[in-house]
Amino acid sequence: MLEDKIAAEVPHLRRYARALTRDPESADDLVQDTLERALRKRHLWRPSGRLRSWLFRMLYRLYLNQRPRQRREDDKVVALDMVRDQLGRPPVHDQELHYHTVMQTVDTLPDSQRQILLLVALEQPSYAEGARMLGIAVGTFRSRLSRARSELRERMARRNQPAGQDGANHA
Amino acid sequence: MRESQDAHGNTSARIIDHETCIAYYRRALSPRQAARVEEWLQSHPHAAEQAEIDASLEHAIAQPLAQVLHEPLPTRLQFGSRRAMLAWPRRAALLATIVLAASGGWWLGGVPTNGDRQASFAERVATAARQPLPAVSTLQMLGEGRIAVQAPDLSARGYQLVQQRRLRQHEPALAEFIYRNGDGEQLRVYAEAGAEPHVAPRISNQDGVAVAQWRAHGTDYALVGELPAPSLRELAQVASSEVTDDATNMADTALSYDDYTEVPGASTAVQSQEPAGETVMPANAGNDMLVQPGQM
Repeated sequence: MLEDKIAAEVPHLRRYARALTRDPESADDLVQDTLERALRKRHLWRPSGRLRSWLFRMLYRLYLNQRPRQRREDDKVVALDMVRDQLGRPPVHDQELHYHTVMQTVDTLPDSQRQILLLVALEQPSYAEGARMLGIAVGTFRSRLSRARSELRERMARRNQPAGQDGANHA
Repeated sequence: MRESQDAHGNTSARIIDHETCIAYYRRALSPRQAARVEEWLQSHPHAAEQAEIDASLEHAIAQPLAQVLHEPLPTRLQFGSRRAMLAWPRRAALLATIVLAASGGWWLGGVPTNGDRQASFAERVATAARQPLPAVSTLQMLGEGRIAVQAPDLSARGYQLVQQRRLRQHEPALAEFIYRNGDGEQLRVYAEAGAEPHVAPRISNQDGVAVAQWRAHGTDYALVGELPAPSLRELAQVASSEVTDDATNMADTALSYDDYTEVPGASTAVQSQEPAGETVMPANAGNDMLVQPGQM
């Protein structure tokens, strides 16, 4: 039954929505909108296709359409405390601080790279499946993911450099 | 992982892609695959370093969100449960069909009607919210119909209802309630007759206009104001709870107003500034706006 299959995907939809929005309520709003749309569009679903890709593509499109472009930068600033939110307390241990730092750095990436990197980190799709999930070409998915990883590595390396070292290298 | 054969058919020359290397560090490969990748990585230290870093960073991204998969779902997302099925999905679809037939198809927001596509409730709310308020303070509304649209009580948050009107230029018509607090900040709440299931408040963006939308007892509501999304959400939750709490009384009121046609004194209060297609009534005329089902 399609409803049961969709229900099984809801936790995964919530997780990606939470990663995109960084706000539990907004994420659930997004998932709810996705489910409502899936219900309305169920006649378009083909059993031969991958349900998760279909649902994720819907969720991603809704996210892009709903999110006000002018507020995206603000959201990055105010919504960085995901680690604290998820753990219910500020990050205090080294590992939690590391998670926090990584997520802060991810949020400095361009949106298109950030969204792909979050998807890959959470779902580990193949290139083809990831491209289907976001409704983009496989080549685009692959190149954006490669750039996102490269950018994240470099930015993390810069963050981890001792103070002043960067300036010294340029001197 | 791809293997290529040399001229002698040997498979010693292997091409292992970055994803496979990352999967190795995630421990997502079979022992046999892992052994092959490990051998390759030992001879390609730069690729090994990059893959290990990427795997570590992606683990750091995913780890704080891992618990989301195991969180209990809120009722509104229990798509497959019997409770939720009664609450919204199937019933929403059934009622949507009924409302579609009765009111012109606004619910599906895109179902063709007479060759045109009607805007969704949220889209029409956003369009209405972009319009300046009329320069009037006390106006009236002419109304007739059988559905009472109740204005939420936001006084607990310092907002008083100052105007209410029906925007006839929107099809279907919208009821608009305007609130103001002591600092002069304004909120607008829009309403129209909707389907029966309750839907909790949620925020959406309509071309730059943040709309907090919910449904209670046969009415769709939306709240719009120059406030941050969390504040809008909180006000919407207050408003939705007020409406929900009074729902029983509201139903009684709606029945008693079956023959209602006009707010007393309405004909003397209309001012020339009123935009065409709108009727407005004083806030003190009561918090229930009556709207013909076919017009909502």
